[in-house]
Amino acid sequence: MKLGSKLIIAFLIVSALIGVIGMISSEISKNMLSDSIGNNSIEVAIQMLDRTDLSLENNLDLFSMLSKEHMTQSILIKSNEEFSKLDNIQKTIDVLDDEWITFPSDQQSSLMIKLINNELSDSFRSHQKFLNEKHGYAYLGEVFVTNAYGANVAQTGKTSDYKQSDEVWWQTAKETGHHVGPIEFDQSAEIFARDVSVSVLDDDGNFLGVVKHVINVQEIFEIIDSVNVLKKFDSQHFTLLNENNQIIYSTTTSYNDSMFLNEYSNEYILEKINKESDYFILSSPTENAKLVSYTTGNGLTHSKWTIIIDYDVSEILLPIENLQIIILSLSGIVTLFAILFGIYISRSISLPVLRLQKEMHEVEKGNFTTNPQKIADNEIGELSRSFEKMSQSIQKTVYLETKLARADEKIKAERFTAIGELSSRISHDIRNPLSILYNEFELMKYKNILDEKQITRIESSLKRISHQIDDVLDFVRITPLHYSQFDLSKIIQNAINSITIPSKIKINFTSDEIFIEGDERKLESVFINLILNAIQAIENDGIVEIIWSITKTSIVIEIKDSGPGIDMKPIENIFNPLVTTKQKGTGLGLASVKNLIEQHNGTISVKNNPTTFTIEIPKKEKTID
Amino acid sequence: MTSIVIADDEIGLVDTLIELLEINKFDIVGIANDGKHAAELCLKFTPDFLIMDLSMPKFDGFFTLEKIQNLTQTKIIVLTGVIDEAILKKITPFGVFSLQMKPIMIKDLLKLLNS
Repeated sequence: MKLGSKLIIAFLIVSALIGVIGMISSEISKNMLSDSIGNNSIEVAIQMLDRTDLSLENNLDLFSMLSKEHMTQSILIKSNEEFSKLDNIQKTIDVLDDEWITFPSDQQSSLMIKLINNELSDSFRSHQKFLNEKHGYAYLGEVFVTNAYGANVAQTGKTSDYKQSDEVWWQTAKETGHHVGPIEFDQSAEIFARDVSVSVLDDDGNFLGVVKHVINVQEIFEIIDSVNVLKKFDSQHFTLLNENNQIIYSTTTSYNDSMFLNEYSNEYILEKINKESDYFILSSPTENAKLVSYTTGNGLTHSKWTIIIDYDVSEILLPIENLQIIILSLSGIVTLFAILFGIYISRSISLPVLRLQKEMHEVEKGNFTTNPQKIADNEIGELSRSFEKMSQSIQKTVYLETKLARADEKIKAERFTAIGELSSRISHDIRNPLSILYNEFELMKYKNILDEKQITRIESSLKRISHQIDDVLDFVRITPLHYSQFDLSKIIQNAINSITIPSKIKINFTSDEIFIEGDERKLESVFINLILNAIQAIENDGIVEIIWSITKTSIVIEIKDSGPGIDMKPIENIFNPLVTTKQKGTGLGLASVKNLIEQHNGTISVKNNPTTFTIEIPKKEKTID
Repeated sequence: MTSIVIADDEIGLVDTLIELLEINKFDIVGIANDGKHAAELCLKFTPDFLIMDLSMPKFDGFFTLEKIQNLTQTKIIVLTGVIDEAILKKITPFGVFSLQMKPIMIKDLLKLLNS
């Protein structure tokens, strides 16, 4: 993987960690905030229930105190005495009750007028007036008093019936001292109200009667409203349910008076209300997720009332969600910067490295022309500088070596040229005196001055001089071939004849006609050279063998000797000029042989065991029958 | 008898050659040491053969070849110490009878003169 990619991945991991940690911590914060708001709301709900309880207890205290007033007691004692004197108390009450119920509702009977306008009723009306003024609304709906037999004694307004002893509230109040009725819409006062009944006892604790107050529950609504005013979240709602899960009051915007005592319709929430108090997050398919806190009262008076406080989760967690967005965007920005920074860093590292690599490749290829680039002032710059120095010193060395090699070659070439020119001059200059010697030798032969031995020795010496000169000239000046057709076997035989062969050496050659096209004189010189070499290679006695064969395309001649072989590696170097393994010789013999064979488009090769020179010349022959 | 003019600056060579050729019944009508003299002799005697070296002082063999070109029927045998590409190129247009490297064996020379 490239450096840049590694850096970018490293930066990405860091910024991803920032993002992940941010998300985890904000999730934890969400839970903590939900916890805190949920628990807080339970507290608030408990307090609200306490306040409603307190308001009821205050009412009970107030009304118990009022019932102990002397006037109430004395009027009830008097009434009870009157009733006790009746023959049939219950029957009398039932008769009066029948009359009461059947009396036209828009009129008042004399009994009604008497009960509404008596001294006790006036007293309660004054209480009523005081409380209503104190609260600013119809706080006390109506008050009426029954004696110990359940018959009305005094009342602030018209009641629906006369006999109360058959009512639950009356019986409960008589037995337990008080009764609190459910919250209802009071038709006569047109208010949401409940009745609070207390029993009236004499100083000895004897039951005298019951006072029933119809109390407006506006106070409870106000308790809820007063908390609602302080709410911090728009989506926060308070709902008060009675023991039957009917709505007493709610702060939801959709709530109005007509919904009073309607069944609470959110079944999802109701399902979960199964403890004294708790909170939960409700995700419903149709609505926004809600955080719901609730508490169910266990007070004596308000058992089983429930306060539900709910919030839109999206609103309460909004700050954290905002925070999450900020974290995510920050993480995104960090990522972006990380990538840009990674790219920058990697470029600032990899570009010079790549440039260096490229320069190294150039140097590898032998191109030392360094590119003067701006070199950074860092470790890579150091490396570049070191490399440049190294490359410069290599260049210098290579330059010197090249120069040296060229000089060497030049010297060699000059030496060759000099040798060539010198040899050429010498051979040229030798040819005239040699010609004279030849001619004098011929003249001597004519004059019969020499014996056979002398003739042979002189002839052989003259030929050797002549061959040496030919060798040198054949090598230093490649002269054009004089093509003619001739019998190669004759040429080979001539060559053998022109050489003085030591008696201990035998030359095997079977002569047969081999017609070939080429330069007669030059090919003769080739064979003279090779046969002479073969003879010289054999130290004492041995055989030189000349074998020839004809293939479809060429003529192959092998010259083998029984000598010890050529001590040279690689053996092909024997064809190089000025190379020799012998004490005598020009070192040009085999080089000129190779030149001559190649001039004939042929090849020459050599191998040891036995020492064999193989010549292959392309066939151009015309057979003459 | 076949008449011959010999041109070479190497006196010893000329002397031995004359002796050898006369033994073999050839008529040496003139000898020259340079190209100019050789040309004059050829034009004067119109011999059957001119045996001539190429490198001679002052006037070389090429001078002779130019002078006598198309003027005589003399067959020219050139005997020289050096035959290279340049010389071959220069000499080809003159259509010499034979170009031979020194030293030439007398039997080979006689073969040429008798052909």
